[in-house]
Amino acid sequence: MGNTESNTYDVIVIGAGISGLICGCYLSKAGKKVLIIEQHDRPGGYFTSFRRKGFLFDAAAHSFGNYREGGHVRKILTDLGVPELARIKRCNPSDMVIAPECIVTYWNDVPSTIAGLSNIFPHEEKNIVNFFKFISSAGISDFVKLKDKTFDFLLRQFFIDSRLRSVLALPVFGNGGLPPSRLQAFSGIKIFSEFIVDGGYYTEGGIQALPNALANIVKHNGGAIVYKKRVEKIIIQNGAVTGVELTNREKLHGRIVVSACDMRQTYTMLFGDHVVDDEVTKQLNTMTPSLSTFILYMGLREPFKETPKAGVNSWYLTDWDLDATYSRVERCDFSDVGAFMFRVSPDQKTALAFIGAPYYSRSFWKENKRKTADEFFARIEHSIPGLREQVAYIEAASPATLERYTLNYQGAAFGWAKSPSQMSAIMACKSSRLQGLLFTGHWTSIGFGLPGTCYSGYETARRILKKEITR
Amino acid sequence: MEDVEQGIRAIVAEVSGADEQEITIETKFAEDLEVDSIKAIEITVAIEKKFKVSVRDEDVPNIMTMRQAVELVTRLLKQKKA
Repeated sequence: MGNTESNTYDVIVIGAGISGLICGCYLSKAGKKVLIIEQHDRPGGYFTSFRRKGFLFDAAAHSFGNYREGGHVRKILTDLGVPELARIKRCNPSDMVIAPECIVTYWNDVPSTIAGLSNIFPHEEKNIVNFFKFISSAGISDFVKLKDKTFDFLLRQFFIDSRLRSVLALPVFGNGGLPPSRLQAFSGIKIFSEFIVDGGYYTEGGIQALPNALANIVKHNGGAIVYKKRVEKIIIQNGAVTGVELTNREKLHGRIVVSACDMRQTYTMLFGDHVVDDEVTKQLNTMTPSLSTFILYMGLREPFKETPKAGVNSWYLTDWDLDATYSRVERCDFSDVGAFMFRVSPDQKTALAFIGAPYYSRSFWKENKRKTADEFFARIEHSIPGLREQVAYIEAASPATLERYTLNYQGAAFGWAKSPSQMSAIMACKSSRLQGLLFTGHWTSIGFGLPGTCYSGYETARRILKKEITR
Repeated sequence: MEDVEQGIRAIVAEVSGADEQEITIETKFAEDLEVDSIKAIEITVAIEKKFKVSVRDEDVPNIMTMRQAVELVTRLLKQKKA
């Protein structure tokens, strides 16, 4: 079928994850004819919810950060009108770290958090104050100086007590998939300041309300979103992108294509036999994706009124050594897992728990999913006695499940592993050499989660609109 | 010097999304091109890779404008040769 008005768009976005949706919102708002193609039956990527046996579960992401006054996420969501469509609330506290000898609480009021930490680690009081001052006021030069450093390097600049470093780093590890000794410092600071210090926001009625609002905004602006359709390849003619072909052979035309999906897949599958950039393809094959996760979804018999308080991301630390924890995760040894996150939904009806997990292979998880779920549940029960009696229904997602639903390579939860050694490669392969093709999302950035993908989607739209004006 | 300037201009354009023609030797990254911390890291890392130089901590404050970046890279390249 040739180009007709009905199958021709200004911009085609592959993937209705947060970055694809944000990009689509801004482009459609600017009057561009936008089509977003999503393989799943709903928008959101890792920000989706699903129903089972009458329970509503958030599939992966369940809260977000950086929604403070002046935060990027608040600016973007407000700019697009999301607060008018979805009710955004905040948990107080947002996070807790439950360690062997102490409980660290992250209150919405930062001075209270600092006071609590100083109470537990009085010998580090001054350093705690200085650290929080640094993360809230660090300027461009400070960040550039940390370009090749790890988050552990930064923590050691401030703190002597390794236990304090571990309780500060655990939620960062959980939200970034790398222990502090392997995580790039910039990424670590951003997770700490944007997810933890300014974290705990959620949409009432499940996280799906957020992507649903964004999808409605795209449609309200005249854009279109199609679900359960998969892009087979990106069509390239004379070195420029001209559209996409779906698995049902349907062809859709557009001068600009934004790939908001897994970057490796874009290069190795969507370009087909067309060698776009041999150097980048080779580079991508040597790069390491971030860790995936193993998730348990629990439907509760009664509203959960015990500790930990509903809505709070509770991080359980059983081994102070986060490197040892990471090694166990890499070996897929969950029998005595050193750390996990547990959260009861704000409506107290369900609970979600996750641990980092390697991908290995689809067949590995087919064989080991049930066993891992049992081991993991037993581990949680050890920390939260009596939980079993409260659980009416339980379901698990392995890295293979996450890959199946989101098409993220190896179920990677955060795009590429954000280690200092991969910084330059992540940056080098994020721009396509092809006219009309752009990348967006967590595979293109050293940023993380909703703050990272919001920023990326906004930036991609800004670039397209700027070039369109100067064309 | 011109090669250095052109090389840096291409990197800055790529990272910031600005057109190369917009970028002159007087361009200030943050003020003129909305370069934030993430883009500043990207520019610095890309410069290090392209020119095979290492930007040390004390040089970081001197890589925030086109003129500074060109002067710094030129100096680092000279030091490398010497």
